[in-house]
Amino acid sequence: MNGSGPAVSATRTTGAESTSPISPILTAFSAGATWYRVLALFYVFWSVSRYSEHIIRPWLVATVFGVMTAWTIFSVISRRPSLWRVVVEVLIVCLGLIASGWVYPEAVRAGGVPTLTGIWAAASVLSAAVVGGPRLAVGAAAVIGAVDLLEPRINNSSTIEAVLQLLMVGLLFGWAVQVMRRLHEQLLAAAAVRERMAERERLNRVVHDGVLQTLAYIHRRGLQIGGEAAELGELAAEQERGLRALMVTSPALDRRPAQASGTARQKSEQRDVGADLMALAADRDRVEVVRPAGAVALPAHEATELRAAVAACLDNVEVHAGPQARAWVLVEDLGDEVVVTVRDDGVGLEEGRLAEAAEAGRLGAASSIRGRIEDLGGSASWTTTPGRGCTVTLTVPRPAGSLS
Amino acid sequence: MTTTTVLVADDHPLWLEALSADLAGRGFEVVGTAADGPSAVRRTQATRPDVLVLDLNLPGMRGDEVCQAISDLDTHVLILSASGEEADVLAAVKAGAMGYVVKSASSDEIVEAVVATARGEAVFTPGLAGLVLGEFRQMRQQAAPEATPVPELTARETEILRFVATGLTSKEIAAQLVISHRTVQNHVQNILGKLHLHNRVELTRFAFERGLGSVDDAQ
Repeated sequence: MNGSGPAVSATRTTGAESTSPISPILTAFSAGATWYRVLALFYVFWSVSRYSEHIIRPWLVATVFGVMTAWTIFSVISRRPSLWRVVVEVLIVCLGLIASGWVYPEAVRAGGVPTLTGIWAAASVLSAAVVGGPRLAVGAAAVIGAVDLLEPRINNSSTIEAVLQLLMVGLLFGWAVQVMRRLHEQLLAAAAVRERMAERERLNRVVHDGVLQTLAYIHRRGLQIGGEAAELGELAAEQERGLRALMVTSPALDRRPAQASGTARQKSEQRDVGADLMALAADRDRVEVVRPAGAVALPAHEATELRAAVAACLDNVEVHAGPQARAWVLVEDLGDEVVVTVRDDGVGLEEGRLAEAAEAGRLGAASSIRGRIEDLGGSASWTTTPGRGCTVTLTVPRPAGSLS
Repeated sequence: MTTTTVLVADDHPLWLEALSADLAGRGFEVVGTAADGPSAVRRTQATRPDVLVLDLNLPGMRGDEVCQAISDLDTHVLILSASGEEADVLAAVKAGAMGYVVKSASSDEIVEAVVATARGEAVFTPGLAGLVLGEFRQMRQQAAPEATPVPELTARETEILRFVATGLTSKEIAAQLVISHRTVQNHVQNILGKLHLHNRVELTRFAFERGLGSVDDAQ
């Protein structure tokens, strides 16, 4: 468990790096601020032009507009929000505001005039929000507001409203940026977790393959060398079987989700018969489970009963078929029914012995198998030949509507 | 009879050595070895062995990609796998492999499988038979009416496949069905043939749909 610590923190670091200046969300916000700045510039030009006949220092207007235009063009060409840019832009706005006090004669100013920066000032607050969230945005708005309010030449009745609006924009936009940034971080973290899981799974497969291969090799060499080495080899073979069974049983129903689809409720009640039987056979030595590539889904009740019936069959094989008998469990999905065939290569029975055994009360297991399967509406049949083992076929209908 | 030539591809050096030694000891001529997918393909193309014994999980290429890449050669492919990743085995068999043996099989079983593969006989484990059975059923279930016709197994082929899947050897199957061992083998080969054919048809269709024009491009 300790081993996973460094890996987690390492991924965090990369996650933070990729969020930093230009994550897609910040890029989008930043682009919004940039285009606002362009549109605002034209609006400011237009609103000031309406008062052009009153302007007494055209060179000052031209200078301020020149700087604003240059800055706007620069921000369109190079879109990398940063702290120094916020500072410079706030400075431009403040100087523009102060200059606004000197371009109109006093008589005109008293009636209320547009400032040279106007709504363009909000662009700097938006940029501050992108760079530093609500705090920097409100800070920028506060600086601009302070200049606005404290410079008596531009202060009029509507100034306080403009300042409050600027603060609100800073707060809201900054807050939105912050929320989006957190969401984006969570998204990145989730993606990193998924990637890590996939990578771990891949590594697991590689490791398992190597381990299984080595165990198979030890088994093989042990048998060749003989003596105690053969015992070691047997041990290795046993471990190999265990590990292999463990590997194929773990992912229960996710092997072919398309087949097992349905409503969510039904899906949650489905079980993969193949995986179930695989798990059942995992601790039995001479049993092989054969199944299709995809999951064979049955509702939980049917699957549990079927599993119990197969377990009883395998118990029977262990007790009656002889010590050397091997068994195979074949799982087949016929669409409207699931067929499980349990065959052993043991001693088998004379024809008619089944009936005899039933009469003698020795077929308890077999009748319980039949009982379970018939309760599900299915059927169980036995065929046996002396010396050629015994085959049990269990057919369970798939309840209507349990799939698709 | 000329000696059977074999190329062994496995990324596990000890295993590669042991298997090559075993095969050489049984009179096979091991014409080469390879430790990764691309070199397995190159060396198979260069030496054209009778049998390629191919580890399913080679670095560089998947097992089915290797089979696909050499499908124009006469070389028969026998898949060896340690982990028995079922879906991967099925993909390789669909791509042209003739048989499949689990690595935990005894040395004799593996040699026997190579002999059978060299003769052009399909080597089925019960597990592979179960997968193939499932594959044909799935093809039938998913077949859309306008799609290419899906190959179907005859009743006899299904019966034989079910016997293989429950652990019967082809001799036992022959005895049970009162037919010759050769007939059983023919049925098994037909089953594989249908699977390969279907795979080729699907590949061609895929290539045309993607505007690739010919199957060679898809390979």
